[in-house]
Parts: sequence; structure tokens; C-alpha cells
Amino acid sequence: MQLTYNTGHHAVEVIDVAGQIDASTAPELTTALGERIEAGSINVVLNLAGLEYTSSAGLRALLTAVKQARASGGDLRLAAVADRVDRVLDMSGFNAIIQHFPTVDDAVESFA
Amino acid sequence: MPVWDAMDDLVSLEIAHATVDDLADVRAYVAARVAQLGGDDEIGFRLQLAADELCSNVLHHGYGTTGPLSVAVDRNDDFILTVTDRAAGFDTTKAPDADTTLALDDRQPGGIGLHLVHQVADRVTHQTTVDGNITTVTISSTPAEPA
Repeated sequence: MQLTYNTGHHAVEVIDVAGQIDASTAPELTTALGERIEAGSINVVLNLAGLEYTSSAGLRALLTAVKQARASGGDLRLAAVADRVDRVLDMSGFNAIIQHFPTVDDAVESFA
Repeated sequence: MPVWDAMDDLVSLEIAHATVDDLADVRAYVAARVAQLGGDDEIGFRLQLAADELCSNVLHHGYGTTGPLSVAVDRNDDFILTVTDRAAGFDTTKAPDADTTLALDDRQPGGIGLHLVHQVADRVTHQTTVDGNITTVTISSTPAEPA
């Protein structure tokens, strides 16, 4: 799993998540998102265009981060979710509780 | 080099001291074996997810951190994933299903993995043995008729 932090979206932090998330790599995502939100980046867009796979371990990381962002007055939203990751989100009911958008720009603009 | 590359066939993947760091190898084995048996990417995806979730569950809840795992994929008419472990008996088919309709605040982190296994499988069986557990996941080669 690779994480890339993008600047330039001002009030919204865009983080690219690429590769594969499983029980081995999910703790890194949980820690990274927790640190960003704790540091004040409470409006987060995860660009999942490069994410090929997630197991339930990735869903748990998302659940933790979304709860933390909303508790801080912000939100975490998803963008450009690839088909198989989208299916995992759908099967677990996460598409109903986490906002998701076709593109990063759409997700960023949704915070306006 | 992945352990199965050295084998004449891909009958099974045996890991003596498996940890979560082996999950990527488990998925790669399942993908390679499904392809060898003539399965398509869809069957590969479903069995990779099932294998990942079953192995993760055993490692976390059965062993705590590490223990032996055997993963195999076979085909008769259907594709059959078999995960064998030596943890204390735990019947995955009787675990309470996660409620995927709960609102965010009511969601708890656990239970999603086995829910996903049942979502991608056409059939899941569990057998407790004197040594541990044998769990199978079957996916029909013939796509189900739309409801």
C-alpha cells in the first residue's frame, strides 16, 4: 500500500491510496489517517483510483477514520473507487455510510 | 521466490508460521491456482477475498499472531477453496452475521470479514477436527440465474 499526500486543495486534504490493503497494511492506514485528522486535516478525500484491493481490514481503517473526522466536525469522503473495492464497500454496506464521488474534484467540491 | 513457484503444480500453499504478512502470498497463490484451473478473474477475486478473510480470522482470533496455515484450491465442476488451521475450534458458519444496515455511529469494527466470505461464496462449510479446523468455500462454475 502506498500513501501520497497532496497539497493545494486548501481546506480539504487529498490522500492517494494505492496498492492493496489487508490486515498487514491496514494499521499503517489507520495510523496515517488518525495523525492527519489529529493534526487538523478534518476534511479528507481519499483518492482510491490506484487501490486494487481491500479486505475488511481496510474497511475497519475507514470506519475508524470517518468516525474520527466527523467527531472533529469534518468528514472523510471517497473518490474514484475502482470496481472491486466498490463491491467490497457495497457488500459491507459502507457505500451507504461513507460519501463517495466519481472524481477527486467532485469529492473536494462537495466540501464547499 | 514465492514458495509455489518452485512446485510442479499449485496444489496447496503450506505456511508453517503464518502471520498477516503472508496474506499477500495467500492471495497470489489463490489467483495463480484459479487461473491454472481455468477460472476467470471474477472467481479469482471472490476466492482471494474469502481466503484473505478466513486466514486473517484464524491469525487474529485463533492463533493471536502466528500459526500453521494450509490453503488449497481445487476444482470439480465448482471451485473449492480449503483453509486448514490448527487453532481452537471455531465454526465460521455459525458466527453472528454483521448488520450491514447500521448507521455509522452504531457500526462496530468486527464481523465484517466473515460477512464478506458469505457474500462471495455460494457455499461455506466448516469441520472441526482433532487438530483444528477445515473451512471450505465453494463457488459454482455456472453463474447463478438472476433473481
